[in-house]
Amino acid sequence: MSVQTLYTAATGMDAMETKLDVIANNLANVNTTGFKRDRANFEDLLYRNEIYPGVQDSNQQPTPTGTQVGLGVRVMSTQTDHRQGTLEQTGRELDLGIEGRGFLPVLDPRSQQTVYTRAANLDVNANGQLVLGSAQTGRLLEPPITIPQDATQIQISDTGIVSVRIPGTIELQQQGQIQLAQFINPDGLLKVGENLYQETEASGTAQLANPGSDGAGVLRQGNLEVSNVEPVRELIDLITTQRAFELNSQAVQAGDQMMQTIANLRRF
Amino acid sequence: MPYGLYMSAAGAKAQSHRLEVVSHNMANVNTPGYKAQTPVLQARFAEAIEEGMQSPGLGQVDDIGGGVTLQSTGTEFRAGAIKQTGVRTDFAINNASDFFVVERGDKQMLTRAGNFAFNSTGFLVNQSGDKVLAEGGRPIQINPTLPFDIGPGGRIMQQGTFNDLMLARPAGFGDLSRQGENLFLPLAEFASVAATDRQVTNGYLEQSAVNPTMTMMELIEASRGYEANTKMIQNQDHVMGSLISRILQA
Repeated sequence: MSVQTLYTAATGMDAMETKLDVIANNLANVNTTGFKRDRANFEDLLYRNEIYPGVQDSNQQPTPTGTQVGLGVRVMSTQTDHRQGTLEQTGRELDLGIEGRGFLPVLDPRSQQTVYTRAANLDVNANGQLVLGSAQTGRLLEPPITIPQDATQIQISDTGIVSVRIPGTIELQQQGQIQLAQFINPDGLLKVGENLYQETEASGTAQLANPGSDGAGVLRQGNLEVSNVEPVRELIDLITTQRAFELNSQAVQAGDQMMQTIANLRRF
Repeated sequence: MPYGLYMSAAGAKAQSHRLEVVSHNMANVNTPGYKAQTPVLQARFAEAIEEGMQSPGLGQVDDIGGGVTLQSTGTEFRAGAIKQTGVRTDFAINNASDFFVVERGDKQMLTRAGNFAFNSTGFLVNQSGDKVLAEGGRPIQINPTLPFDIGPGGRIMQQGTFNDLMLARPAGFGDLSRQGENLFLPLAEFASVAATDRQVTNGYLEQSAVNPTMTMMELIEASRGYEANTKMIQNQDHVMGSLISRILQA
C-alpha cells in the first residue's frame, strides 16, 4: 500500500504550513518599527536506500548510481534578513533611526538582562530617564541617560551624544552617550517579541561601540527604521506556498486512491 | 473456521481502534493544551505458542503469527502552537517540558491548558473549578474587589503582594497518567522550575498539539487498512463458501 506517499506528502503540507506561518508573521509586521523579515528554509528528510550507489555489479565494476527514495521535507531553520529598513522621517525628537549594523541596548527590569532592539522610539519617564516607548514595560537605555526636568529640547547627535537645552543657558548641556551593540552573528539572536532580541551562545557577545565608530552605524534623530518586509515579495511567496500545499494534497489523494484500488482488487 | 479469518478480524479491529483514537484526536483539534494520543499495536504469537503448546522460534507449521493486539494508548507530549487571546488570565508555557499544577481533592494534577479564571471568592481556578497552585503549593487567592495585575513569568500581583504560578517539570513524560479534562496525574515526584527559567506568559493560550494534516493521513491509512482487512475476511468466507457448495453439489 502506498502509505509512504501519504506521509511524505503530509511532510510537504506541514512544511508549507510552517512557511505560511512565517509569511503571515512577516505580513503582520509590515508596519512594525525595526522589524526584520524571516525566511523559512527547507531540507530533505532521510532517504530510504534500496541500493547504495557504487555497489559492485557482476563484472566487479562499481555501479554509477543507486536507488534512493526520499521521505519528505522539513523546515531546517528560519533565518532573519537583517538588511537595513528604510528610514522614515517622523520629526519627533526622541525617535532614533539606526543606520548600520548596531542594536540599541536596553535593560529588561525583570531579568536584569540587557536586551537589544532596532526600534528606538524612545520616551522620557517620570524620573527623566530615557526608556523605550512601550506601554507594557519601561526598559531603560543601557547605559542610563537622565534628562533634567526643566530641559526644553533634546538633541541627539549622529554619534549618540545626548544634549539638552536648559532655559537661561546659551550652550547645550551634554547628558550622556548612547551606545550601540554589534554581534558577529545577528541571526543567532533570540527574538523574544516586543521588538527585542536577546543575546545567545550563537550570537556571540555584544560588541559595544559609540555610534559612528567601529562600523556600528550612526543614529538619525527624528527618524524611525520601518519594517524591511517587502509586501510584493511576501505575496508572491504566499501564492507559491499555497500552490505547493495544494500540489502536495494532490499526492495525498493519489495515494489514497491507489490504496483503495489495492483494497478492492479482489471483487465478489 | 479458517484461522486466517480471526487474524483478519483482529486486523480490522485494530484498524477500527486506530480510527477511534484518530477521531478522538481530530475532535480535540481545538482543545487548549490537548496532547495527541497514539494507538499502540503489537504483533501476537500464534495461538499454539500463546497457549504454550509450542515454543517460539522453531519455525514449525503452527508458528504462523497470531494477528495483532491492542496495547494501551500512548500520549505525545509535543507543544502545541501558542495563540494570542488577549485574556489576562490565559497562560501559556513556551516550552514542551513544563506544566501548570492544579489541586483536585488532595491530589496535585498537571495540565498544559492555561485558560484560568478568578472565581467569586478570588481563587484562580481552571475551567473545571480546580484551584491553580502557586510556588510553594498553596492556592492563589486575591481580593476580588480590588484590581490586580499579571506580570511576566506568571506573577500575579495585588497591592504589593505577589504569587508566582507553580510550574512543574516532571523527570519524564512516562510518569504522567492521563486523567481527562486536560489533566495529568504525576506518578512520581516532579521538580519545580527555577525562577530564571520560567517561560510562561499571560494573554496567550496553548492550542491543541494535534497536527490536522498528519491526523488526516492516519485517518486515510487506518480506513484503508480496515477496508483491506474486511476484504480479507470476505475472501476467506468466499473460499469456504465455494468449498461447501462444491461438496453439496457432489
